[in-house]
Amino acid sequence: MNFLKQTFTFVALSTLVFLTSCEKDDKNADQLTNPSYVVPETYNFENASYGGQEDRLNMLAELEAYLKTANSGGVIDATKAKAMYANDGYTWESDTFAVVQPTKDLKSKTHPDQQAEVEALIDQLADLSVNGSSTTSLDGSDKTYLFDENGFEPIQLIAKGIMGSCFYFQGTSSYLSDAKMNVENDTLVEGKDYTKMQHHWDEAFGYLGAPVAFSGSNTSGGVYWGKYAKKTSVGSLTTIDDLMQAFISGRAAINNKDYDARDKAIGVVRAQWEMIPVASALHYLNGAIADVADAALRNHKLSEAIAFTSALKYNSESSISASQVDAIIAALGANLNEVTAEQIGEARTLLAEAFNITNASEF
Amino acid sequence: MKKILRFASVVGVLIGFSSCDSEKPNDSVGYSDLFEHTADNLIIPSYAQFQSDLSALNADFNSFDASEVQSLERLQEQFKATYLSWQSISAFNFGPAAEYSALLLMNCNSFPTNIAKIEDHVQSGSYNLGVPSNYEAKGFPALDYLLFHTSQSDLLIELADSSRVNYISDCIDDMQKRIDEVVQSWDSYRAVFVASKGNDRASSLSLLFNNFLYDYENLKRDKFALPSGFATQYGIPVSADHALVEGYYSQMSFELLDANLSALQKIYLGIGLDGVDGVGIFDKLKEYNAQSTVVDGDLALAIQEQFEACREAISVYTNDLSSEIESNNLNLSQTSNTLQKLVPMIKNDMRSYLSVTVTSTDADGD
Repeated sequence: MNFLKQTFTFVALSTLVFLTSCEKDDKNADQLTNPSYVVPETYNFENASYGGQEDRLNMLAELEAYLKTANSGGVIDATKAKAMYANDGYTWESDTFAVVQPTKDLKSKTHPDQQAEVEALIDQLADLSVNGSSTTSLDGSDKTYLFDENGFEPIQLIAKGIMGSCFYFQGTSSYLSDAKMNVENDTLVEGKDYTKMQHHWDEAFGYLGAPVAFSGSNTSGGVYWGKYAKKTSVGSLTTIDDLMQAFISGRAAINNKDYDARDKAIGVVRAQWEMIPVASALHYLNGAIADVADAALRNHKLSEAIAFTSALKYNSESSISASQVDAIIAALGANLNEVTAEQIGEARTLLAEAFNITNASEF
Repeated sequence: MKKILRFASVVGVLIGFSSCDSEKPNDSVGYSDLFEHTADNLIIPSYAQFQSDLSALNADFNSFDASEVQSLERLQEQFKATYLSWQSISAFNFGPAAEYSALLLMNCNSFPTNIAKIEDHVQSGSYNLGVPSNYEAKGFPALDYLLFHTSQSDLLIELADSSRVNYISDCIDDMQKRIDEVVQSWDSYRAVFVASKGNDRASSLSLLFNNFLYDYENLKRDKFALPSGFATQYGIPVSADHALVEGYYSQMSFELLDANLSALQKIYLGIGLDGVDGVGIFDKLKEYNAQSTVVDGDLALAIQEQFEACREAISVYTNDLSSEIESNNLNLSQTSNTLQKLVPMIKNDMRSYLSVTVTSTDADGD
């Protein structure tokens, strides 16, 4: 009996050891050890509230859908697109806004340096939608994109740009900052069932675009970062589970005023969320290599990769410096119509090396 | 106690390892023998053969004397031999061959070639062959043009011009650099290829299958149906254009087509470069007792018979494909159907027994 028990324990232990050996990233290793309170399996906290973030994700979806009409010959009205971006004088049409118009906006939550950039790209797109011509893929899939004269795709730079300079910036930097975390956590916000700190944490989670029960084995229903998170699994990273666990345990820690655990969770969220833009950029760089002779697919994928790489600048605890980010993008040159496979490979190498990724071609 | 512990740790290790694997294809059939045989007796020796043929082409080119027609003939013959040798490696466009520094398929065999671009580059002497927009001005199709597009006497005059000679030299060098790298990378990649488990898109099983399928579809469509007028683009038929064939100037389209078919058939059967018959996809389908949905009966045999039917079908023509298209040979339609028939056998039937997914079209909706 005793024998069996020992054997069982050993099997269980060695299984555990090998299970964790599958994980490529051990940033999570020293995470939250045995808190005295229950950490739930999902983010289904009773008083969780992040409707404003869901609104912004839906607003970007509607803005992006409008911008994409330019791919099939539609003319973009810059004034309208900017009104959508700033939610100033535009009437939203998505089903989700059918009853109540949103009061939030994307622009004011975008990193200050990038607001004018997004608007300049909207102006450029509006101009191209009248004076430019679209490029169609050669592979029979009939994908059509609108590029500027150097092969950059404003629609991707705008949409994925907002994912980075707004959603990711707010989710990893702003709402988890000292300024937003060292706030009231004893009394409820007037008229609400949550504290200010709980709400700030929820707002960071809301920008992830992940369902409450999101996990590595259940990835359906994610939008924006929640959707691109799947690219991490392709490269065998355990990002999704690590990131969800950190958000859940951080919220549980706040509920129980366990601020050490909360602070550890902040570190994990920042480190793990970062792997989503990394994996997405690697995925698109690989795609651009595979489709390097097809200008439409190549330039589209490179524009995606550039936008995802740029996002890395907006994490206040980023593992990569802004100048490294610039160097990766610069490796692709100033004209995507003239880029070589070697240049794309060089950008991929720089990005992979910055994150100690050795299986870059698998993403 | 010690024994039990050892046993337990072995079990633990096993459980731990298997949890790292992605789902396995049909459990009863393993693939390591297929990978090993394909790597050691097909892929690696075929790359080595191609590398050596390309070196011989380079040597003939270096010793080329524009005052001797025999010298040109030697060069042309070696070009043909090398282009035929290429057909034995085109289906292995994964791993090192698909790395950004090689991209063998696009860099060596993008056809039809763009003669305006080639002439432009020869004239200006300023070009970057690494830029994708120049893929259509390099590789075999460019050499096919430069070494065959006019009479031998005119070619000898053209090839006395050093700018033309330099351009050819750059095209050969570019291919050599790439194949050298692929050959070298296979030294270490072999172990990865052979040890691969599972059936996800990065697995050797998926890579081998998908590149086999891609190469066959390329053969069927781009090398035959498209120039012959039996292909569609976005569902609309495309008119025949005899100039779209592979090896247009050297008029060796059917030879190239047969070499390509024969290479795919050998991969399928597991016949090594030295002729030794080992484990091929054929043998795996036999192990599954696979049945065809296209014709009645055994799938392994059906595919083999269809390969034979395809080779038979293209062997009846007396002229090169471009001439047969121009003279509107009515047999071409029948040949196209014969080639087409193999597609569902590979893409549906073979794929379903191997439990892999077709990866050639990206499912990203954005």
